[in-house]
Amino acid sequence: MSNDNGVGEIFEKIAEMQDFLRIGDEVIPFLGDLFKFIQDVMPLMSEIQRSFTDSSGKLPDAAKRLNDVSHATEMATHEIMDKLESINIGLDKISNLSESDNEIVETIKNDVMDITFALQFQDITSQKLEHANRILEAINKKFVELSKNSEMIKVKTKVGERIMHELHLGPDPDQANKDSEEFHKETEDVIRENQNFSQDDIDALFG
Amino acid sequence: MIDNKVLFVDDSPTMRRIIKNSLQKIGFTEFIEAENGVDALDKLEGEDVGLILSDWNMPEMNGKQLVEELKSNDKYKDIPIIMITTRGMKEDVITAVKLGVAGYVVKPFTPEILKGKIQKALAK
Repeated sequence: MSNDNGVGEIFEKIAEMQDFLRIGDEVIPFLGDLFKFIQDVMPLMSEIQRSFTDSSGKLPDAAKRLNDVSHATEMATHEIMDKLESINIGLDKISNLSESDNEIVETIKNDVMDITFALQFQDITSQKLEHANRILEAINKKFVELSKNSEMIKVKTKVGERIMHELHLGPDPDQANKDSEEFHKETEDVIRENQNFSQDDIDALFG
Repeated sequence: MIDNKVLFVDDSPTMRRIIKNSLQKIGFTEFIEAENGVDALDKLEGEDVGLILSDWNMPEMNGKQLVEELKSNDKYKDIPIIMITTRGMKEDVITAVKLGVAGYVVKPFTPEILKGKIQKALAK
């Protein structure tokens, strides 16, 4: 009886192994496909990773530049307003005018008022820039979260560590570095264009 | 000359200056300026103000929150308030009306429009 039982157990184990191998036969091609897919996707992922690192570094600077534009337009607007107020004060001082001259002065005063009101564009533009700034900040926040998540993948499993390592290296590190340098140069040029010296700074250099 | 003291609230120095110019032209002589809702509530303390002009989008306390504060305070609830804002969406205007503002001006505005809204608000 016990021998029969022993043989039965062996048959059961053999059947289990057959099942396991059958599953293995089905799973192995799938794993092959999966690895091929990862291999194909890696260069793209690597490019995304590098582009996102390059771009996210520029976002705070872009936001600061938008604030600078708002500030510059505000200063210019107030200079114009100073001049307009000074014109108004001058017009108020003119006295003993004929009726027709008075009409001219009133027309000029109304024109000055219209120009003053037209300067509302400064506040409206500033608000639009502030809105764009908020969008940039939100994108930057997302980038930072993505970066944190990719770092977490790296430390959680050995496979993740290997994938992140490959992503950082990229399929062709030399080409990737060249692309990155070109991107930086392109954006640095844009930044430099906005960092012009003032005339006072230039004059100071000439002594 | 108009006796009412006016409080105008806007975080933009440009807008405060434009509003002050237009109020002077209309005939107002006494003004209080504030940068946001919190600043406005501080400056209102102990003042006899007859009209409030307020922006909507402001840091710390926006125009909507300021109106809510004012309307829930017995001391200030009857002061006419005019909103001056870039927000021209229907739901914003409806919100303002429900809060009990006396007028709503969308930027950019002309001196005539502001004058008309002020006259209407003070006549109520």
